[in-house]
Amino acid sequence: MPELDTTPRSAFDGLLPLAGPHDGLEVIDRDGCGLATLVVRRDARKALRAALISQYGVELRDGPVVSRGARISLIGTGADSWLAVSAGPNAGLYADLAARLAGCASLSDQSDGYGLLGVRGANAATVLQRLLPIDLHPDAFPVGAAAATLAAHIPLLLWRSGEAEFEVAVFRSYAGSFIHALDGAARPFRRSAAPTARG
Amino acid sequence: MTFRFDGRTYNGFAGDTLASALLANGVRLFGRSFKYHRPRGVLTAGSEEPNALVELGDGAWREPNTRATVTELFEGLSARSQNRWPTLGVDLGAVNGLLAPFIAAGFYYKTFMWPAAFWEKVYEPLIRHAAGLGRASEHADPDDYEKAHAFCDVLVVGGGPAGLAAALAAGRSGARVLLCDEDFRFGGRLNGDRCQIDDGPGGLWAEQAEAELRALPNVQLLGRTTVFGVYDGQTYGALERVTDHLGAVPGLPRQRLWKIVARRTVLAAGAIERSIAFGGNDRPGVMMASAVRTYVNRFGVAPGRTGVVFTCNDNGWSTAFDLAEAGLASPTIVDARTAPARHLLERAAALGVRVILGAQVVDTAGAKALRSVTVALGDGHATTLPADLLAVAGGWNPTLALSNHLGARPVWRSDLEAFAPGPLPPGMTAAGAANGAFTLAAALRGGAAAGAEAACACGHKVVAHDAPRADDEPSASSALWHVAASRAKAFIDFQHDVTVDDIVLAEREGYRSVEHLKRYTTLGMATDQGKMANVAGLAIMAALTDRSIPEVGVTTARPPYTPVAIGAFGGPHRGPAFRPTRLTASHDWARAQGAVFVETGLWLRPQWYARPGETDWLQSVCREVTAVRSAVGVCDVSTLGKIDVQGPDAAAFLDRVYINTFSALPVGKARYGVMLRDDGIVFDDGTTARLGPEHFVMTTTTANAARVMQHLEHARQVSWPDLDVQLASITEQWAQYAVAGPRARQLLEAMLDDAIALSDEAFPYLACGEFAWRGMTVRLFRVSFSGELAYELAVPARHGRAVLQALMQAGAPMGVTPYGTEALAVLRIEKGHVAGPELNGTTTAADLGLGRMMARKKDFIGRTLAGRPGLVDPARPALVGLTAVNPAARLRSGAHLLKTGEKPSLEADQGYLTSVAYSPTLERWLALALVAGGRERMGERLTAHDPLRGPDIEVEICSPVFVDPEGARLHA
Repeated sequence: MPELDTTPRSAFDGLLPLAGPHDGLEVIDRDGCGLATLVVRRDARKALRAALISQYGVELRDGPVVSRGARISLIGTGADSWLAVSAGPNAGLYADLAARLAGCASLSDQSDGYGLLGVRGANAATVLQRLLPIDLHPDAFPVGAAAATLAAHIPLLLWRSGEAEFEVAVFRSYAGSFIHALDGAARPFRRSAAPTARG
Repeated sequence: MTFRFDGRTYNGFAGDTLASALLANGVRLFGRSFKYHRPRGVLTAGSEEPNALVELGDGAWREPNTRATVTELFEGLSARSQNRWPTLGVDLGAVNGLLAPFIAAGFYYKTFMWPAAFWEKVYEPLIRHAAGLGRASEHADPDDYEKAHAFCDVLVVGGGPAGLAAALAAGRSGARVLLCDEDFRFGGRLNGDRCQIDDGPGGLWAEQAEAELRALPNVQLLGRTTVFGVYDGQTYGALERVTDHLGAVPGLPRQRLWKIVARRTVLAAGAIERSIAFGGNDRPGVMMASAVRTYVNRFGVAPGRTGVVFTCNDNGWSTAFDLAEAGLASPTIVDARTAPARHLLERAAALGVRVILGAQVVDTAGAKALRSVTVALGDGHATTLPADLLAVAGGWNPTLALSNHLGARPVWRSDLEAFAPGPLPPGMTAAGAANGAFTLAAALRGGAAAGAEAACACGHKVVAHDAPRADDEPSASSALWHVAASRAKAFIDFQHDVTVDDIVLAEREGYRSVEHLKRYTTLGMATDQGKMANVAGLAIMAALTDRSIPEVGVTTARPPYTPVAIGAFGGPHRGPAFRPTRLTASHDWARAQGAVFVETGLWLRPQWYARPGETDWLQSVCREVTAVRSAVGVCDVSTLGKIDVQGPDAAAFLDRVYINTFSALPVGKARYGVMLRDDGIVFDDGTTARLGPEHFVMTTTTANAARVMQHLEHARQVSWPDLDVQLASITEQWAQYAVAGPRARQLLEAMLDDAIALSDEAFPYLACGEFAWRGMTVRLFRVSFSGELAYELAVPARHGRAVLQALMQAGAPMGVTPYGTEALAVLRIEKGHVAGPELNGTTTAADLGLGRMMARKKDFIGRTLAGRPGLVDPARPALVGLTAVNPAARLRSGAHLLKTGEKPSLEADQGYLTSVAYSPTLERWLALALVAGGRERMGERLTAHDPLRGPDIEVEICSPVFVDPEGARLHA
């Protein structure tokens, strides 16, 4: 039997931390959180809502928003579809959801499909705004808002978990290119950068 | 600060422009003109500058045609004059000035017509050598550029009095305001003019306004930022010069390209003072009157000692007053009007300014700088005045370029004798001088009103504030475009050396429409887009043809307002970051193994793994193919699209998107499927496995993965919303490895241990299963692209690299070899499997020999149109195999087929080679080809014709399956 290094490899292995430190910016690898695509079955929306409340205490909201719960949150990603995200490390999220929501939703494990980043800090919105073609002003993209959008031609899911807290889910294969783009946008906020011309 | 110009070192001050610093150092001569190599100085103090164009920087940093008037001085700045040889002072090209009668407008068209054969060989190289303004660096742009996005309620373009008033009104209401100004100092004309606002100097008011705006959290100010273009969806392009004024700063970009989305925009871009066309109006020392004020008042620079002001309006008089008040020798005013307002005359008298009324400057003199001006007096006499500075005040043109960018044209305002913005782009209002409100009080009023209105429109409540107080200064004007009495060259377009005579010539030769005028004379076609020239050109054509200016036409502008470096548009997307790359989980491992990568869409896939000693790609590929055919190989197939198809109607859904039937597929089995486009042409293929009664996993080709997903979502959401089926892309979740070769089973048994039984009975060809192995869920599919005994093992992507390494370790005793996409292609060609070159958007299932897969008893996408007569014609090109009659001959993909002895022609074409490979298994070149009626032509010999790459080759048509046609290896 061959040796197998079962150390889980994050999508961002070797890519983080960003060359910093930065003023008002921290980028966190949230690897280990369980991720799963959830698509509601036909005529099962009611049953799904009920199951999510009873099983997870989450009230499901439609549209590009976060339905937040203590253990899982559901990020609206499209018509009838959400990305379920566990609050903390949870390798069993997909199996758990599949069992508890059987019959009212189809589930696909995505824990390895996306790299999940937390982007935090007073300059988080400014740095992300450099990359993103959507308005991140709190009036336009408040806490709880979500979007499927692009940064530097890279598709990603973005949601705002706090005033200065964003989560970014990017397909695993794009991790290197995304970090390259993020690093470029963050460069003016590196503490070593000249203090002029920031902003 | 020290800086260099043409190798000489000078001193300047922070806050200077290159132009102001050179003027302060007594430099008058800045460059030579484009066509006649005339000495040129500084004409303006803004971004409209057509004369003072210099080369900035050295080597790769060299940037030609940089306007010295907007180049902020920094320590160590290095600039050179351009368009001169050998030196600026002694320029041999100036001989062109003597040839002027011969190189007027249309010169090229007339002179280089004959003989026609001379054009390419003689004329064009000569012209190219002489032409062009400035020299490109010819190196890759060494600077970094950034891109950024901004959103706001109100975008204010221009930070002069109107813009500041607009930003204040909108900002105080709480609206999100973005104020952009191209200058490095906000204030616009307030920086250059002596004026009073609220009983204080205008410049002070500008500083206070800027400070208030900076303190508002909802207002962002971008200085050194030019809004250069208006685009659809209320989107604006802007260029921020981040470090151009600092030299290179590590870690910071040179420039930043902003994409701004604004609900409302206030265009407060000001106005550009226009020149008057009189003889010698381009001589160094001739300057716009407003520029003279800017150099005197803002930069503390005396652009001359003996000044003459030539004006046709009240505004010009203030230049003379400012010069007098600055203590310079009393200037002279030459006003073309006969009766200006009395208070102007009184003030002139009080300041000792000499006034000549009803007079016009007809000529100037001086070699490399102005020495004197000749004035035609109202009584018919002329007088010559000594002067080293001539300030020209020809009136003002609103800076309305942005209002044209979506196609709208300006309108002529006879009250202003100028074009003003016509219909505005959605969401835009114009204010201040850009809107024809030329006095300070009107600009402040208009700006404040526009800002308030824009904020209101965005839902903000505007609180009334005391408007800044200013007087409407005298602004009477009487347009003067052209001094008819001038004999010497009178320039209209300084940058392209277009003169009044050129326009006269154009009119005489019938080029009277504005579009012809422009093309015939190149008026307005230089890098300044005719900011100074276009309206004057129209006015002169109007006079010549006895029409009004609007009858001649209008002049419009296109983006960018001022030149933008291509590097700024590219931003960080250059070199390897030109576009994103997608890497598989085992990319680093493959690189360490010597893999050469190929781009497949955005993916990088190992093409082959070069081993030490291998000198040729074919050598590596043959080794890999042989290893698969004789032992076992492993190929990363993670990039194939993978789609979860789930739900009670998943099977019914697949029956409708594939030509073959999937509802009958048992759980635990996989099947090859083909899907068509609506028009009946093959769209994509792949295997789909049934993991559960309501759960299928579809694979797609790498190239089509996203398109197939779109196609399926469209079918699900739009075509058949009644079906209870759900889709999810799981491409990225699974790393997948093909294990192929006679020893594939042995390898997997060693690898997977007891996790699954792999005997042919337990896990036959096209079996599939999902099971737990070493704490992870894995999927195994017995599918084969190579024709060998083969499996695909899918594991969660985070474990991909470790699993691949384990496969290599487990397979080492069996001679396992990693193989890339080239070997994959050779293997599939040997087996006659179709891929991208055959699924090329022109082939039907029947063309590819897959016609019998089309189920007759069900409907599916593309079925109806696949039955069109043209698509079922037996003479259509069909997939066949080809071998060269001479086994040593090399076949070429793309070669066309002819009947032996036929002359090549479209009519004689029999088909073409789609895929070609050297087969190490058969030791010869093989091809797949699409040949007209090919399946009925087995054994026929044809000629493969490839005039680009080699001689004709005799080939023989055969079955496309070259290796193991009976499938013994597959089912082993």
